[in-house]
Amino acid sequence: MQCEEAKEVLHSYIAGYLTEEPTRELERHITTCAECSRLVREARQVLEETGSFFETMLPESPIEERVLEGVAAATMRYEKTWTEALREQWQRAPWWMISAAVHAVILMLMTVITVATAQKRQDDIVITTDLAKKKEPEYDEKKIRDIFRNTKEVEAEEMVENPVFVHEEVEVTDHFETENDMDTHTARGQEDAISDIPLGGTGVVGNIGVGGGGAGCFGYRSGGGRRRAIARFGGSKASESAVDAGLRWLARHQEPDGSWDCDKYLPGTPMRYGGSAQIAAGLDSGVSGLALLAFLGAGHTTRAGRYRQTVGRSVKWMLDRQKNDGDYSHGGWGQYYCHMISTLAMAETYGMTRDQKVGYSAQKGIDLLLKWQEANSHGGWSYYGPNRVDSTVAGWAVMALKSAKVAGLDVPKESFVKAAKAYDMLSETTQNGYRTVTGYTSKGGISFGSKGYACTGAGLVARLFMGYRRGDPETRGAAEFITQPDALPKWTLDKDDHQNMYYWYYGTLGLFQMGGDYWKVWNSAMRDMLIQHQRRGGDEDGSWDPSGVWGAWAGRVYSTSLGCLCLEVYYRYLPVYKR
Amino acid sequence: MAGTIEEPIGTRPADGRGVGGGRAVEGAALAAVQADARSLLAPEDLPGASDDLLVRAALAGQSEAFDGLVRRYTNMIFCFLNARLRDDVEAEEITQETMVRAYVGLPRLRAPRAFPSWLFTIAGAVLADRVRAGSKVVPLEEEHESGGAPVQSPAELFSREESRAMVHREIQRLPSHYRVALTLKHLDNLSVEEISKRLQVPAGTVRSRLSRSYALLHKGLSGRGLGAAAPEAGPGFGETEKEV
Repeated sequence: MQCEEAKEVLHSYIAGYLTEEPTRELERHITTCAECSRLVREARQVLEETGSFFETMLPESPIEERVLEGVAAATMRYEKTWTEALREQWQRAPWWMISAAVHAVILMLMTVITVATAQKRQDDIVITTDLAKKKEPEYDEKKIRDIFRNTKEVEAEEMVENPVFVHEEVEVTDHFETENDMDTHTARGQEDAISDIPLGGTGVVGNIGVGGGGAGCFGYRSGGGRRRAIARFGGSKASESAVDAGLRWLARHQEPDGSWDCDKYLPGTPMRYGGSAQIAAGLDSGVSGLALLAFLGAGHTTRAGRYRQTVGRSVKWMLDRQKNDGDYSHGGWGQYYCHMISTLAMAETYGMTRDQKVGYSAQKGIDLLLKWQEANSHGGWSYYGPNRVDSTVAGWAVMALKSAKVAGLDVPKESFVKAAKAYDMLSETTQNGYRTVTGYTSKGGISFGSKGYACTGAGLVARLFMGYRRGDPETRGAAEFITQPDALPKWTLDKDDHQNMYYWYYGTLGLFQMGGDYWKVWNSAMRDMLIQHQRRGGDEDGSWDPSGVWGAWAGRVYSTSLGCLCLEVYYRYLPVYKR
Repeated sequence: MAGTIEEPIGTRPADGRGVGGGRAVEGAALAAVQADARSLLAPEDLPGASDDLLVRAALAGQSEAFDGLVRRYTNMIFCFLNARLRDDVEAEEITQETMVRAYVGLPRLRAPRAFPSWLFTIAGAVLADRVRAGSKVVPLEEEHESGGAPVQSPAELFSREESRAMVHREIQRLPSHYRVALTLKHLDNLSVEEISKRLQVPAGTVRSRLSRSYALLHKGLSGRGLGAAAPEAGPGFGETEKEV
């Protein structure tokens, strides 16, 4: 071995990484070469002093725990003003996106300029330009609400021997070509959640929110995925236009500060079960959460869709009103419902936008839910102290926890296990030994005159969200119970409380996941009834009357939001199992 | 106009975990929870997980994963800051600020496995901000331990203190991925295989990074020791050369 070679390998040698053969050669070389022998000694010293570097510089006492605490404190405190966050997002927009915006403007200009050419001779081309005004189609509230009227069938081109050059009018729509209306395919929610479309997803069942592959688990709420889902799971043009009209009503009646006023639209509503304007006045955060969910469910976020402004104002209001302990509600009687619904809405917002500020806020909301669960002696939730569980309240809590989990927030798995046990406690055991029919706060305990349908619906949704399958006896029993003819949605307020919006919402979510005949029977009752009873014309166009059981408590924003959410079911959380 | 969302690139291969679960309530609920959070790690997997996996789990919302990363690299960042500043208190404060910025900026980290190198970049930025803000922090960059004439004798004749000081100075000039490799070997006493697993680079690459680090340190040392020109000022603390 020569010196050149030796110098190349000597550092591997002192580190002990040199293989056998070169090691022998090097050792033979340094016995004869003083220079290389000295270099090896120096290298050994370097190795040793490298170790001493860390020994010298280490802190005298361990600092990891202090640093961890500091990081935890600082990141909880990390709050930016809303405008700062927006500005930062804009600044983070890459050059190609700014370029895309400029091109979009140019393209838009091109559509209003019609170019006609008359070709007389090869070198004599006359170009005339003409500005054509494009008229915004008027919104006719009486007309069948069809949001698909702008779509056209694509026809195959015909071969023409001597083509005549014709300028076609280019139509610009607000519809993006990606699956989720974002500028690029951007995952929403867990990016790995499986899709039930062919070739989609990567193999993990999200249990709810199973979405369109690259678009993530909330990805079916808009764009092409949404159209496919509507067609496939029993939606229709009419149901979509009803959702559209419902969202229009909600957007028109949002307060300037971004909230929705619960008691403002109560007058004229039959007061039942002690509902009153005073009670409703404290429920703004709850109905605002429901309205926000209705927009999110149709794919409208702070970043995409026609109602960006509406959603943005709503999210800002939620962020501003959250208290230090994470509570979004106004306290009082409605604290539990309102906080759970708002938390669910914020967790979904985070899942769909990945906005860190919203994520921190939703996590604080979730933490409060978990604290309440911890304090409850049965591991559930109630609004009357820690020693009972209300199946309907707990249903919202489970939905919020599940959405948060899917969105990537911190939710311990024990929380779901405890909630499942709480539901077992409330559920009657049938002859076969399975717990199916869920009571309100005890086995067989029924809320007012509702025969236990609503509570069983809540139990079904909660169980499906906690991980039960649609083949399990518990879920099958519940589905059978609420699909018997008497339990199906009916727009009549009788002594059995058939007209109950939140029961319909629970039933719709749960049976959609169950699928099969359960869903067919329920869907045809629910869908057509809601479309038929949506208000047409006037200020109330697009809303649903709060004439049902709890309408007097929560008003028109509540009934309209739930109406939209029921009809958004086809794409809101896709079913786990392929049909 | 919507803003961008930068998601970590790539997905993990399917690992067959998760869809089990029997009729038992616990089984079903646990299976569902495990199944939907693919990036999340079981507590027992945290200590052995690669940085890459920890970053992904942290992005998926698992706070223990980020805590794990902080535990792994707090001492590394502290040591290099302390070497620069010779001030325990300042070094700890800047380490903490570095970790906070890492937490906030984590979604913008494009290559999760470059996390430790990226920490150096952040620490450099924090240091620069403090200097700019007129903090009393004065990096020791310019201070020389001996201003005297180069010594003519071979390096082995140097006093132990002198050669030690020189190696310590040279370590700070190394590119950040070399510093990371040296830290894992000499501070955390990890084997080449363990380093390879943690950084998600082949074992051969780890060996060559370590040998190359020693060679660079040695070169700096002999440069001064043998009276050649003093080594040029290396890149700053948070040098942003391309990380491998």
